[in-house]
Amino acid sequence: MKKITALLVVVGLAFLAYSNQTPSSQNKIRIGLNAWPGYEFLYLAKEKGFYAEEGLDIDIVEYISLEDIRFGYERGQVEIMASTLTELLLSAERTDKEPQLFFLADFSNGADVVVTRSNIQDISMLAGKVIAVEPDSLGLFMLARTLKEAGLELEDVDVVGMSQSKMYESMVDNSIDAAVSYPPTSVNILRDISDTHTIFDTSRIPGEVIDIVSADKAFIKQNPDALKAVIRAWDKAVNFSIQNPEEAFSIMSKREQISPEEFKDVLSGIRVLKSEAQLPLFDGENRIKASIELVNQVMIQNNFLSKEFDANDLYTTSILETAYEE
Amino acid sequence: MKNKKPFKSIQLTLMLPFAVVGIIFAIITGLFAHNFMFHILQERTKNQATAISTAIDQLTLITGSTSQLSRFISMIGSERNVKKVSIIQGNNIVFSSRNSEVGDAINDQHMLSEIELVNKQGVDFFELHTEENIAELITPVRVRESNHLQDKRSTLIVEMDIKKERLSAIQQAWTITTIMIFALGLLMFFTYRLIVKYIFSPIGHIQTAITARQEGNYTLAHIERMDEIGNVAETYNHLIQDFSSKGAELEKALIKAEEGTRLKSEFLANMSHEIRTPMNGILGVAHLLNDTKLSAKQKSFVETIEKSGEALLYLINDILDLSKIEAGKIEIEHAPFNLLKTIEDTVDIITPKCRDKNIQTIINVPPNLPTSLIGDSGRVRQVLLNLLSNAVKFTHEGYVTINVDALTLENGHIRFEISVIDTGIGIPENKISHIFNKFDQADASTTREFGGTGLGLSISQKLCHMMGGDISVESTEGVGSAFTAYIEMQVDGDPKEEDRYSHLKDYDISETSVLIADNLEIINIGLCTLFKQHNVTCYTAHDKDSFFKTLETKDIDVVLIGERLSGIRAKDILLQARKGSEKSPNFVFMTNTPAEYDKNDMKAAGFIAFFPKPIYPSELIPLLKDIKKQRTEKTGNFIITRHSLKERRKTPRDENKAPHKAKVLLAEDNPVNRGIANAMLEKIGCTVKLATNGAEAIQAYEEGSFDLIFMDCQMPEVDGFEATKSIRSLEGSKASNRTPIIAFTANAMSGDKDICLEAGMDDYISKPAKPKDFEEKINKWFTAAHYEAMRKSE
Repeated sequence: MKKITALLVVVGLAFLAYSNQTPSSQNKIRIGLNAWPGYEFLYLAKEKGFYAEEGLDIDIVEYISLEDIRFGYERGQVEIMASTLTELLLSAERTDKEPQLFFLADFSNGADVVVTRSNIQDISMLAGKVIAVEPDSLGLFMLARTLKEAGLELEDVDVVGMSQSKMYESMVDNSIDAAVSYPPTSVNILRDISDTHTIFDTSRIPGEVIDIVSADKAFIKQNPDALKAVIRAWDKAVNFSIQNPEEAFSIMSKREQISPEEFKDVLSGIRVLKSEAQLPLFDGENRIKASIELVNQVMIQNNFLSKEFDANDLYTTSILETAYEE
Repeated sequence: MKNKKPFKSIQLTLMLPFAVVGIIFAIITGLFAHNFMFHILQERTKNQATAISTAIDQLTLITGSTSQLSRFISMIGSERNVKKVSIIQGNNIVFSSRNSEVGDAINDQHMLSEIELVNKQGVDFFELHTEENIAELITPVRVRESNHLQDKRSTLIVEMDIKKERLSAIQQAWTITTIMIFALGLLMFFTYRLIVKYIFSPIGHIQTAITARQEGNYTLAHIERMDEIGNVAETYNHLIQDFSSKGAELEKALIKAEEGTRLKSEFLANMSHEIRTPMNGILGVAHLLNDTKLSAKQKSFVETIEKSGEALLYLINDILDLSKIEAGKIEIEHAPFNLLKTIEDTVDIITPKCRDKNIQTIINVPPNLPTSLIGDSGRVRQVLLNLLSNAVKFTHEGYVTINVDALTLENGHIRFEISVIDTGIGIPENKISHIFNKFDQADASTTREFGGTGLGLSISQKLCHMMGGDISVESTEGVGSAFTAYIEMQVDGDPKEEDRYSHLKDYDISETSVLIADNLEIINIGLCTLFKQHNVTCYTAHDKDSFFKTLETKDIDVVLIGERLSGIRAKDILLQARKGSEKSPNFVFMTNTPAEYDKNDMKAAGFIAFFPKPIYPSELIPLLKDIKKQRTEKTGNFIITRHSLKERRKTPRDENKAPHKAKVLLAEDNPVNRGIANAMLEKIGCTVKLATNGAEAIQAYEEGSFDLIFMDCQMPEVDGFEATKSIRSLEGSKASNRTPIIAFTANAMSGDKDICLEAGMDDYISKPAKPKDFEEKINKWFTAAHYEAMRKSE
């Protein structure tokens, strides 16, 4: 009889354990991104079903700003973050997370801009002016690099934090003199507000602003196959935009809320990278590592960061290297 | 018992509805839990959506900034359980968590009508699309752009992703169901355990106790509880204790009774020994006295002594028999014997009494009666003798008929019946039922008139029972009685008996014709039936006229004639027949009173044979053959009688019988018995050496050689058993021939014979012995041995 009692208990517990299993619907991977044109290819891959072709269930979560993306990543709302190196470093310092860059989207090659009133002719005139920046993000690095051109420091200007959409409103009502912006907001400001122009852009500091895709070190380790599939879907999207530019630009510009022509112009200010073009960047002088170190330095100098990271901890090439291996 | 229903345990009968109710309950619980969880999901989703809508509604009122609104919406949309948040103005999406949808028009008519309804009535619309895992809240919302005095009329759509929540709701329902099933299972299990512990297990104990009781062990049901089952067990235990104490009492009583029976048997054995010893003296002396020269009066006195003694002996034997039967000490023998001979011998015993009372005896035997049987001839004789004694005793005039019949059974057995029919006083109807009871005769007065113990019928019936049969009775008061004994026996398939009439085989009697003339027609018919079985032509006549008519008309070879025919003496009939006819059939005279006739006279009168009635079936054919032989060989110088027939039967071996020449050692301590036995043996012609005890017998044996030794069992100093053992061992050492030793004892109880044989004796003779008994044993043992010895020496 004792045996029967024991058997009953075991069967009951097994039943309970079975029914308490978490449902396996968590395979969904979420990618957080904003309206940065470089990231449109991640969206295009979703729209064209390239993720599904690779056996992935991907959700694209759209944020208004880079800051919001970082926040979403830190809260666990998304597993994969499309951002710049600034967000990567901030997350690494401010949270227990260990974000690692595993893939690049593009180099900003003029798309990131500093727009000012037309009466401000050169960078040195920015001293004492009110400049809008997305707080805790690339904008600060961008502004610091801009001011550095004229030998100015961040203390020399009046920095106010706001989102990209707020910058547009603030430019309209003249409450700010300049804004560190990027498409589509920069396109809208330059198009809609008459006395505005670009005083600095990333074409002057090529390779320093990189748009990256990163995830948790642990997540990368646990889901290498999924991330490889993301890379393959990305390549498919880039190829698709080359072969079918009209359709691709129409889809991508729609989300940017600008015209396809404007989107085409914007694209000339960035260099989208297919995976085959990315690996060489990590070789030799390793521009990526150098960029990480540079951004880290600049941010420390401007008191955005306190810690100097070992750049090797912040990136991995393992996914890129094996993306097309069986 | 064949139709007994198959065993069906209550346990199963109880557990089945339990299980069914449990399963139904679990299913209901599961459904209820699912619905409940789903309801909670719906409420929670609605509350979340409502909270989101409230926040969105308040946002532009507080900030006055639509750029903040779009950022807020994108953040809300990034929540895992929010699928999409959109704000509609007119038919267009103006804000959306999905950038690409901003500016699009809504085409879904269903959605549009819902939006219209919400705008008109100003109330929320909440809907679950379970198949798409979506919950949808449509609600009016205010969007205030800076510098505008009026809010734009807007509608908010919040789409919640409920897939995960739904799965978890289903899962929780499952969990609850599982827990319920598990709990119910446990409940059932423990209920079952309780039922087993408090009901089935104690019932099992009681069952075990009852089974043990059936197998003869007194076991108590050990249940020390005060409840219904406990009461049952207690009641059973009381019952069992009652039983066992009663059983013990019964056992004691049984032992006592058995002891009593044993003592009674011992007493009877002793008493019989004590009575038989003096009886031996009385009868022996009377017998010897009768052979001396006595006056008629003295002879009559001696005969009275003899008859009284014999009557007393019968009485003792009856009582002994009954006690032996009751003690189960009678054993039925299984030895080959001839049924017809047994019947004839028994009739022979009773014939003198019949003649005294002038009663005729008729024997009817069917054709092909199996006569060679294996069984106890002594007991058959005892039963028949009892029935015949009764018949003769209670018949004053007329005749006694003995009808034999047989029914063949399986396995070589037959069931034969012997009916004894008399023309006596009969038995009153109200007495018939208990005439077989011990000590119970039809009427107390009959005992006084006819004598007897009233044990005979009871003994006979019990003997028949022991031989697989019974006795039945039919009787009419004043007309007569018919007692029929049924007995089952095995047929002897290989009879050793020789054809005693083989020397007559050359004489064919099949063409002989016989006329039977007795004034009692029943005798004629009976004899005629017997003759016809042997293809003998037979006629009957019961008066003078029919006799002479038959004699005239038929060609008769042999006439069997009774004493008188129509009042004319047989002698005269013979004369008349011879005178008036040239035919000369042989005349056989039959009489029921042979003592009144002289055989020589009858021979002179012209009779060829002289036979006492009844003529036995076995005698008829030899008689005819003997007549034919005499006629053929013309040796008509003697008259054929029963005796002459018997003499002819004897084989050459019989001729050599010489009992009188036997040399006998007689060991007997009682001087009277010794004297009588000695006289009897000497009368037969034996040379007798006497010994007064065992020691003397051994000494005598050592000194001389004997053909036979008669050994009393109980003697002072060395008893018969020890003496026998010594003699046997002496024989062994001398390598001499085995001398037959015959026990001579008054111990009449069963088992005595076995003790004697065990001690090395060969046979057994019970006191009081008659000269005939001695002669029989000498014939059996000495003659056989003597013949064997002679054959060897030849």
